Amino acid sequence: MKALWLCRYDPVSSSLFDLAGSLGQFELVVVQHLFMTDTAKYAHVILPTTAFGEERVSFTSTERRIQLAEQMVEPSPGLTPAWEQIVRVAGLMGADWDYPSAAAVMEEIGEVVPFYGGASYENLSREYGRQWPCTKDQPLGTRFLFSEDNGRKPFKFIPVPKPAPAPASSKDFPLTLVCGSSLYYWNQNVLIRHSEALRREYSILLIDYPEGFVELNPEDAKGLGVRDGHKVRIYAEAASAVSTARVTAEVRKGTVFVPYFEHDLERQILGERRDGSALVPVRVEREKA
Amino acid sequence: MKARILDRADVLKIVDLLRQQGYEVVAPFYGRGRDTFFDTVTDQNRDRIQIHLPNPYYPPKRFVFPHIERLMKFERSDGQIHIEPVYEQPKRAIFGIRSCDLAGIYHLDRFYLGREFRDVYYENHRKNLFLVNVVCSDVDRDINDECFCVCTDTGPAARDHFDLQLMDLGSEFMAVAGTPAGEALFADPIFRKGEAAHIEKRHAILDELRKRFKTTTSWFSATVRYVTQGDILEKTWEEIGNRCLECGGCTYVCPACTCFTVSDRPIGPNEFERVRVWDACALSGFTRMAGGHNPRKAVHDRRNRRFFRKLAHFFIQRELAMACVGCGRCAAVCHGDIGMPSVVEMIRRATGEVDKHERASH
Repeated sequence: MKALWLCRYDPVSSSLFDLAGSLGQFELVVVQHLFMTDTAKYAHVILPTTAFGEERVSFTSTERRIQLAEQMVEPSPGLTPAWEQIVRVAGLMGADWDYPSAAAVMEEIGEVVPFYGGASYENLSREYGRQWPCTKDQPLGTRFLFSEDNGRKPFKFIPVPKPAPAPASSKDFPLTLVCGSSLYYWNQNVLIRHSEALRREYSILLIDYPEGFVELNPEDAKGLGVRDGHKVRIYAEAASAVSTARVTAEVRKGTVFVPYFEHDLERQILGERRDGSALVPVRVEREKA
Repeated sequence: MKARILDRADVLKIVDLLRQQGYEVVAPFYGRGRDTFFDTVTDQNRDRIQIHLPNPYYPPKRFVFPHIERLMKFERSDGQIHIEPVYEQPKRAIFGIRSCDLAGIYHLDRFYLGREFRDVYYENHRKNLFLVNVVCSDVDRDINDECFCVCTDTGPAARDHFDLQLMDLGSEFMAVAGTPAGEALFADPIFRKGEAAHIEKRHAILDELRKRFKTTTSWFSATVRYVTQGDILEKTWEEIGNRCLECGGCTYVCPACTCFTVSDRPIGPNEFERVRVWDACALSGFTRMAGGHNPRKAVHDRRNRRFFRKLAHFFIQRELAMACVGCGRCAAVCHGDIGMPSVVEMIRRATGEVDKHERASH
């Protein structure tokens, strides 16, 4: 692979892996995005795109709802929709792509994806979205994917094995380390930095804990002699890492919570496994300066 | 106050009259589904203006107190900083504002203009604003499940603070002028004098309307006393706080919330703007001090702040009313069901048991 084209995607800020290094191996990296993201910093070409509300475009949600978002405001001068940029580059490379609008792209999607067959912009504009399958025969969409009256086989519930319980707390590693997301840290923080109120919430945490933090329950912290803001060392079986304690009742007793933007700490503790969903038995000690 | 009668077919001519007078008119429209919103009236959308519809979730408050507003611009050039204040002074009319939202704007007036220091930005939005109130008289379309303006005494028909009020009497509308500017419109031939029968009809409709409100009620009186006297148990606030997801949604849809934060941001290589942005007491940054201390760190300490501000006697005295207008939006948007009516109910039930006043009488 020589080239990479990323459309509104910022893997450098959201991935646990060191993607910056991998991006350097490409001869050409093109990034289409609204903002100057961490990924865009490694791009050879940055194509700034229009935002939600600045173009007529459709979205499909995990509820299968295909929604049409109308253009409500004029984009800043020089910005074009992502699809148009792709069409223009394709044209320069000799392809004969002729789409006058996003609606024409949708028409073609409808021709090749059977369950989008009826999801023309004209149809979508009549309601608050249509749920696929939305075909020519069923232009109103399908509310329930599996129901008795649409002829599809109903779902069968199958018991799944219980998720692995938190590793038994041992004397050496009595706490369980959990990695996860937290309020005000969205997948791609670049968007939060452009919302004034959210940005404030985000920056305050960084001011209070400039080197990041792990969250400890007040009872656990008391037992460990750790106060909010103290440096702590987290020991796992094979590794250890230093962070700052944020003492809060928002985490359960027995748990050490690592917000997932703490990439370094996660890497140090999880090592090569780098599986953010793992529960790791750990021990926490106050790190004396 | 003077009143006039006009034909149903002539109601939107009021919009035309205002536009002819140079007003930017905003009015409510249907989106898709339940969505409704206020938008600027143009020749294209004029006929789609709705008289009766569910009140938009995004309140018309933003026309006097925008979500984000530029206060000034800074420019750095030749080693100097130039500061240029930015004032917006629109000549705007809101057509179809509901009585609850009208009470909300009056509340903002009291807050921003009612005392020694007048807010010049707010005043600029407010001074040329013309308000056409529509009485919520269509039980199915105007009155949502969450509406409780009968409990806050702000609706369904506002008694003042409008320039013009319209009420649907069936084939005719009654127009009531609340200001000289509103009364001046009556010079137009679409308006004619009414008869005693029209007033009787208005009263009959309002009497009936008050009985047709849906399931939401909010029995404020005891709660105002409990909040004011500090009688509410910590445990009750904690229960309320535990249900708060800290999204700030209640504040963003509230027609009476006044809080904002101020922020500077770059808009060009050597240019910055200072903006004020709606803020919410649910967010922890709202009360955090520069040194890092947060006197309201726990969620429930922040959540109760909202209800002190809205219901405590100190504030009621200052603003001449509770800072709740009964629109029900907080009840509709809250994922934890701690909108105003639920909170009033939770406090009333929990505190009633330990009410000193109640105990003393036994």
